[in-house]
Amino acid sequence: MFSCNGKISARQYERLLTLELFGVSTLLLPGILCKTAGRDGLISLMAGVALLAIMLWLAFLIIRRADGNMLSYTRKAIGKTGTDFVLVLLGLSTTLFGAFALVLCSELVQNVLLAETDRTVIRVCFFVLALYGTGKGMECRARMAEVSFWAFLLPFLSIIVLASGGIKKENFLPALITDSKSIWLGACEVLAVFQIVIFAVLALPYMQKKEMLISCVKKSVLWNVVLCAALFFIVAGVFGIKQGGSLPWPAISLMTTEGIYGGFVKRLDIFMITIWIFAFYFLLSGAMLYGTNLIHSLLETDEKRSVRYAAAALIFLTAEALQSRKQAYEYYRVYLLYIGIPAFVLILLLILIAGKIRTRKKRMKRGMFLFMIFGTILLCAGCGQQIGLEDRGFILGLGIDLEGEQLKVTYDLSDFYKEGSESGDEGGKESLQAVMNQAVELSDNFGEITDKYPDFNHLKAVVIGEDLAKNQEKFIELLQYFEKNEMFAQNVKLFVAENEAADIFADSNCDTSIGEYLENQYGQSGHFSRDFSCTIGDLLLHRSRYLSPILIPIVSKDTGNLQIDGYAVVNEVRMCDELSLEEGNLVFLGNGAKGKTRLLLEGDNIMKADRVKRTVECQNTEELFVLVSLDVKGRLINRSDSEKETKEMQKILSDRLNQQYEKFLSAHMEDKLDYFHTFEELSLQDKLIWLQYRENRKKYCLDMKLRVETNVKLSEE
Amino acid sequence: MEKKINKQLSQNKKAFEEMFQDCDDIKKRRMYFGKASEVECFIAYIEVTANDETLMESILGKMYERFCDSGAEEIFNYLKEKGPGLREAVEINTIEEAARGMLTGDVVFFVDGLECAYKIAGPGYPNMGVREPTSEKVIRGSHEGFSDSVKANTALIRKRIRSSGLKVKEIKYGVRSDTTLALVYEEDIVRKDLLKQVEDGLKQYVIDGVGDSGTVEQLLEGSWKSPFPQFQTTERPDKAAMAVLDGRVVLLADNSPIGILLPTNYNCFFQTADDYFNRWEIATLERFIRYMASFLAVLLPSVYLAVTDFHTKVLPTELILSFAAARKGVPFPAVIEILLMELAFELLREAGIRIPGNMGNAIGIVGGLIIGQSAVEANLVSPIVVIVVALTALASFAVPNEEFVSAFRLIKFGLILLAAFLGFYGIILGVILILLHLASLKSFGFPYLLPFVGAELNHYADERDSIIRQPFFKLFKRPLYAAKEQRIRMRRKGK
Repeated sequence: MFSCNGKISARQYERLLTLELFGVSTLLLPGILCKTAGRDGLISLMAGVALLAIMLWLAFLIIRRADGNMLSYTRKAIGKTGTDFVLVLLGLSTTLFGAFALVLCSELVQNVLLAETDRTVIRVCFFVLALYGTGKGMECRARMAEVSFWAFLLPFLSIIVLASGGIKKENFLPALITDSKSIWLGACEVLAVFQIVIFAVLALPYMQKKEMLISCVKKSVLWNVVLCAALFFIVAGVFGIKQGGSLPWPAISLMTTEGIYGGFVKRLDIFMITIWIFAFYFLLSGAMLYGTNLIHSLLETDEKRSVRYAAAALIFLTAEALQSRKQAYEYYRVYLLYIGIPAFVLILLLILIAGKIRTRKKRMKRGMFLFMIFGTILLCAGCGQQIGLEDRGFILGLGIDLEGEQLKVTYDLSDFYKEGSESGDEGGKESLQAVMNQAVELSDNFGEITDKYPDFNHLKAVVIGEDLAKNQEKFIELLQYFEKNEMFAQNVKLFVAENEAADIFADSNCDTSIGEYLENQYGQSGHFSRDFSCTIGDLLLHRSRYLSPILIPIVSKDTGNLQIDGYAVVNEVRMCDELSLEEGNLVFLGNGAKGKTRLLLEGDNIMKADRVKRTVECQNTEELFVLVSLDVKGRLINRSDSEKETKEMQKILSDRLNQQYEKFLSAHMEDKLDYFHTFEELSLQDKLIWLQYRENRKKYCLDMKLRVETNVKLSEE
Repeated sequence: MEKKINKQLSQNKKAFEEMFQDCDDIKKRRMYFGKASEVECFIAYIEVTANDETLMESILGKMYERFCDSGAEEIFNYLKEKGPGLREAVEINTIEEAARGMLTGDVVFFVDGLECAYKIAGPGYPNMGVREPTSEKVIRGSHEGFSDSVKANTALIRKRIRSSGLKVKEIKYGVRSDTTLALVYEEDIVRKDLLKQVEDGLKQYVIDGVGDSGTVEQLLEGSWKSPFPQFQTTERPDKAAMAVLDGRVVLLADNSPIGILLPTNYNCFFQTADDYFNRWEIATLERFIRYMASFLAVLLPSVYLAVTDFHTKVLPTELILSFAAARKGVPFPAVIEILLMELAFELLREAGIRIPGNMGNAIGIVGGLIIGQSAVEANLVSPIVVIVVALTALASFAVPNEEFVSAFRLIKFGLILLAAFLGFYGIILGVILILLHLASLKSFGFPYLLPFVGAELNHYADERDSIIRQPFFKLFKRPLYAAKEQRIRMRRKGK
């Protein structure tokens, strides 16, 4: 008969350990690596794995010698007192891992899913479930891991592949520039995170084939290292090193950038969070199970249930004491780096050296007890956190102006409750205004002026008043609020109002809400391409990297009609200049804007650039002569000089564009801005330029002498 | 201690009449054989199981004709040496045995002067006969279904497996009902320990009567708390025969048209008989749809609740605004709305089954339409909720096992409550709990989640017949249930 001996197969353990490691490693390591080792995070990762390999090598030596029974081998090697010390040390680490998983999970759930729910409720629910799961034993955990492994990993890998399309190589190149101390620090963090792998030693008694444990551990670590490396690449490549390091959950933020084709599901992070909750479940229930076994061995008792409750209670109390994720990680890191790992390695060495020389009634009661706990938690959780659709105010557009030192906010609502409207499509529009001192009041103030809960999840556009755009301090404060509040998606479009943002939301001739109208402006307007958009995410990236300036469309109102007039030039999170539509298009073309770019050239010619190949080269390093060459493949869609030959037209267009660029550069010479993002390109080619100017970008702009050359090739219509 | 049959007919007759006193449905008749009617006989049978016509056509009638001109000596000698002489008659030695024989529908025949009696097979009790299965219809494949008679049912399996290895072990169950249970298995394929476990399981309880195989099923269950069935049931003899060839045991009960296949696993409930008669691509697509349907049947209402009450950012603005507009004027919170509709649907389902004849179907359709539309018009529920509940119901019908779907129906309510309290987090906790339960559940010692767990034990052969039904030539191995030395079911000739 199928054996029910509490043993698990190699495949089951490999998957279980992979999932136990997965949660902490993929959720935290990419951000930690960005923060500590910056562009050379991968080197840190490899160095950390090398340190881990040494530690595991020592552990494997003992596992091989122990012949499946670590406890008796340790007792033989270092005596009972020594073994007890090892058990206490392992118990402390296990408790810390469990508590860390509990803290991380509750904070993640509160941040992403249940912002209004008390964290203790989230924590207790998760804890009770893990405790119940621990009671089911190792076999049950292993089966769960075996079943869920590919079900979770496949969507995760798909998202990684999808997100890799957004990588910008200039975000993590040039590499090999981080000092060795930072790399070493990063490696230590990697080692601390991967310490969870010591669970493997505790899982040995459960293995059906004990000799397979080592290969399982190797494979699990390899899985996680590969996933972490891939995530680091993508996080750094998409968000940039600085923002990647400052995001609380870079992997989750990555999920918000991807959607499913067809538009039925707008945000994937809600679903993808399941993977991490499952991973934390495995880590927490593992910590409880191994903790129980450790106490069991330490006290040499036969009592199982009370020992399990004791181990679980220790974990819960530790989690309560740790409070926040940041604090928890700090304790976790400090303990492991300064006590846990050194002591563990020393003990391993010591062991190596020394080695050389229940009734149904009770069950019913327990069931009732668990049911009561769950019931109480659910009743506590159910008081007011859920907000029905009818109680939500869906804010589709947001206008923010600076009024003295205060912010004047205009909320653009879709009022589907307006009398006579039967469906969302026929819903009218409504805008409300509030004045506040700080951006953080943006959500609370809405509740005061209306009886509805502010739902920014469907925000389409944010319009910033000109005064606010020019005030760096207030602009940064607003941006920080957007960054910290999960409800603001990174793909919300940004606009700058010609005067006041409130005017934009005042009565207009739009059939839909202003937010939707503005979002739809992209791609629909003749000269305003989708690729020219500016989102909250773009501005955050700009802020974190202090990149070259970015352009935000300027929206104005003319006799009730909204129109895009030009672009606001934002540098160091402050509007410093304005460009006309034509000038803006030149900048986008000069930056090799993807997709189809419409260029209104002089005369009546409108050229559609289908493909732009951009090369940047430094012709003289000492004088910093920079040449941007553009090979533009396009077609004329409104050809006024129909008699001319294509070749002739190509030459004329190239000349016209060159002249326009020359005119643009001379007109904006005083701005001293790197409009064409040449610094990032040149840094990839010449590390010295990067090292020389990375701390002083203004100097780069002052030193740089820029020229743009275009070569237009027309395709036959 | 059973009472031996006496040489004196009067003693036997008395004992028999005492036993069946006040049983007017049992006919007891005296008859005489021989030239001068000198050999007294006694026959007993249940009224509906035999009549004069069938008696005359049976061996009794033939004996009567044969012994018309014989003397007593000749009759005794003949019966002692040859018995009644035909295969349909069985010799019995005790009164209790005779009584049991009669109660199974046979005719018992006592002869004065003989220390034994004969049980002569009659037409038996009336039953519904072989019909088309009602809940497991297929397009391709046999349309025969099990009947109420265990004998007919075992015969239907033997019709498909004409092997001497096919064993039918009959067990009498129920001290008063004396119901015949039949364990059907292929001797060399079945695991002996499994068979023993089933037999031991049946010996665990002494029960007065068994109405249906469902009673036995519940008594054999390992985990009574689980909503998931730990046995697979079928109305189809071809499915039962295939299970036997897989090394499983089929348990049939008299008076029940439902056979029990054991052990079972999660994947078995998504398999249908025609999966193996259709091309593998179609079978795979259908299985994928059934798996998807099962997820929808459990999760759709709770996900709707979580999305509308907690995580509105998941859906596109147009869709969420349309949901919001649809809820305009509905006085209840979304959770009550969903629960109301789900309960209304459960009522319709229950009424549809209980209402006699074709009216049941009509009630289902008309009730669904009228209640749905009226509820929307009366602003009791939003049209989106009607769509969600209807889709959930539709999805639940796509899973081909009623008992299994019932578990989903139950769990669905739990998930709705969790989603109402904790949104998507509640659903995740619920799913972890379900997975935990399924991972700990076993059917006769085999993990319920086979072949998604422990597949390596059979060299991943069981996985070939899971969500993806691989081409038939690749399904050359029997599942893990079969005896280890009998795992190969198919090979190419010459290899």
